Amino acid sequence: MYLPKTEYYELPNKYNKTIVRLLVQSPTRMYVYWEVDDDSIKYFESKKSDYSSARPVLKIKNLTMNYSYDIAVDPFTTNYYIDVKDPDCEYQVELGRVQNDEFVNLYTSNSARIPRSNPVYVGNSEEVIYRNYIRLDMTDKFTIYHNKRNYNIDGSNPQDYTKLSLSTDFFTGANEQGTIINEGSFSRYENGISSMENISSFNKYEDNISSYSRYDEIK
Amino acid sequence: MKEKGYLNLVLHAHLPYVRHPETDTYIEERWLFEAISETYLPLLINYEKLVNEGVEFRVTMNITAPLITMLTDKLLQERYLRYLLERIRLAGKEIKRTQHDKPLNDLAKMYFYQFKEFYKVYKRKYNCNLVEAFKHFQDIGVLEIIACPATHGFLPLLNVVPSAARAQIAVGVEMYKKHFGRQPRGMWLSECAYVPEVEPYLREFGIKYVLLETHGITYANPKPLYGTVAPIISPNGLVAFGRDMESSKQVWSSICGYPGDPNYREFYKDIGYEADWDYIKPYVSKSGHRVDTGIKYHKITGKNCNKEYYNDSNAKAVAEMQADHFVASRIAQINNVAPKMKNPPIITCPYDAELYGHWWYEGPYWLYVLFKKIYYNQDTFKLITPSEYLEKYPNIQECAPAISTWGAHGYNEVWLNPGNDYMYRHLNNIAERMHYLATIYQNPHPIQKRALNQCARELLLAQSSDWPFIITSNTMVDYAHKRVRDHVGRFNALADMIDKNQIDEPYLEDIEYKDLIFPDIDYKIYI
Repeated sequence: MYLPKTEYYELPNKYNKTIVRLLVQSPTRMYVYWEVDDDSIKYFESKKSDYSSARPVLKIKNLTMNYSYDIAVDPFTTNYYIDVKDPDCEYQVELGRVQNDEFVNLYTSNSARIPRSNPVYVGNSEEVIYRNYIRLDMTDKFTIYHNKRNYNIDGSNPQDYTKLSLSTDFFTGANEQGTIINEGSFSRYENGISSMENISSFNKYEDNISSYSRYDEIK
Repeated sequence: MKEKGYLNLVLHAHLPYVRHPETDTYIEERWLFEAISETYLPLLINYEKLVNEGVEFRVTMNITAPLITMLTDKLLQERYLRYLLERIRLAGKEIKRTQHDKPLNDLAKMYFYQFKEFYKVYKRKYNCNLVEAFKHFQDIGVLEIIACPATHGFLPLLNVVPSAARAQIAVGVEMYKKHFGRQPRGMWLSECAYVPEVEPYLREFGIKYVLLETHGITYANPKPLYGTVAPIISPNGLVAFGRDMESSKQVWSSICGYPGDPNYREFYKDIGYEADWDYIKPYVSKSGHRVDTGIKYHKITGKNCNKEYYNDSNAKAVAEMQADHFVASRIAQINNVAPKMKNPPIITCPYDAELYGHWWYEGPYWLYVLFKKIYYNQDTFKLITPSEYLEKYPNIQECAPAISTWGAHGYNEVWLNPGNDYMYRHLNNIAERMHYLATIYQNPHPIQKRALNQCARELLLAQSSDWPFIITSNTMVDYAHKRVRDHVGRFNALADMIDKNQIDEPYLEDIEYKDLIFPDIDYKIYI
């Protein structure tokens, strides 16, 4: 069948194949979409009774921390956004229906990793390994011990990552085995110009620039 | 004196594949022409100037496969020449129109000579092939060009069907090798979207390093010693460089970034929108919409005020001051961290190439003076490419990069939200179907093979991350929806024909002509 040069297509309403797919949106949200075909309905009815009166349920499984919980969904929904309680974990979703308090799994989704939304916590010591990027062999290994726990020089809670705005706030600055005393001190520099000062000095610089709009008059 | 640190400037040049041979009324084709006039040609002209002046510099660039295809396409090259000629004619008319208004007249002349120079450079110097032009700079060692997934697919969401993500990488690398004649060492993951599952494919196709958003490094496990001023290597051997926050903010920030200077050209005041309709009609779109012409006469001036006329030399003076500031900031940054590091720091600054020239008109000039200042005015740091850095300092801290993107909020929201989530069940369905077709049709006859290859093209085009992005940023939304429908529709039509063994040859020819990308693709990449 030859379609005319001006084509027009509609996306299919269904694919007639049971599927459940889990996609990650953010550290706090994931998205699941699904479809249920006639064979799955028949399967359900062979185990239980009426499919259409059974409650559709998504079983959310946290595979890393080993727990799961159920979310009831509307019978005609085919997708859902799930709020994630624990980031940095592997999740999986089962789609099923509940009849007489029994969950019958119709399909298990792929697993997906929800990303973390903060730096990895560093304990009292950290092991540092170096590799050669071509040979991939280990070329150096040393341990750093922290005298004090992670803290920011202004005393704020190290877990408050919203206060860390410069990439050098994440800078430990060790290059050999040993003990770090003032960890986190590089966010404010003792010697030399602070790059952060440079950013704020740029804001002052904007005041200088505004004098250019008067340049035309001088000219 | 040996330098204490390095600056790795990365320009990401990408446009979605937009080529409509059936008609020339698609204003979306102008994205390419604007990018050539405002970004690629100015960059190339500046690279040439720097080389001629003997200035040592290095830039890392990513030129995506759709962009390579469009830049080397005869039809689009012809259309671009026509676009330039129109602009020359329009600028000429503007010179006449503004003859009694000196500041405007000077600007009109500026544009006139600019467009004429572009025509000369594009047609005569580069023979309409800008890919060859960029290749030349890589061949002489000032540019490192890196690869990119085939149609800039958003891998974390495509990887549900692993063969789909793998093929994006495979075809991207193939395309690179074909046009640049060598194996790419680095890859620009679309939107810097990293998930560990893509590492085996990167390794399989010879990619040694990628560039990630800041938190891809700072949230890595274990926490890297040096933040983003040093690369990390994953347990599987993939090197990752992370975006430096400070230098990014200085350029990108809409609040205090360089491009916002009041003396710079105002993007939103174009004669395409300002001029009298009868005068401008022949130079805007055939479909009757006003569009940008590239001729803009005003400077930013300030918020909510009358925009004053642009002054080219003032703008250049500002760019030079800002380049000084950038250099001073990097010197301070490097001086502070270098003594505490194992290897010299490398500051990675990735930007959309489009920022330079298209959004920030003075951007290419800023780069030109920046490179000169780096070379002549100081010796604390030098420009470097990732490959050169790795050659000098191949031993890297092992940390597993964090799942991240450089999209708004740092993850996948831009590409997966209620406005665009509908498309993924379709994209995944055709990806699975492609894998199935590739597996069962091991020995197709010629026309089947053509159809199978065309299915692969449709799948790749459907997977372009631009469509969900455009929908979220609410620009050419209808166009994006249509592209998804068309590619999914064409795929399914062809796949049905293959299964029924009844391939409609005129239809296939029509689709092959419309979606003329990846001419050498082999559908078996989807096995």
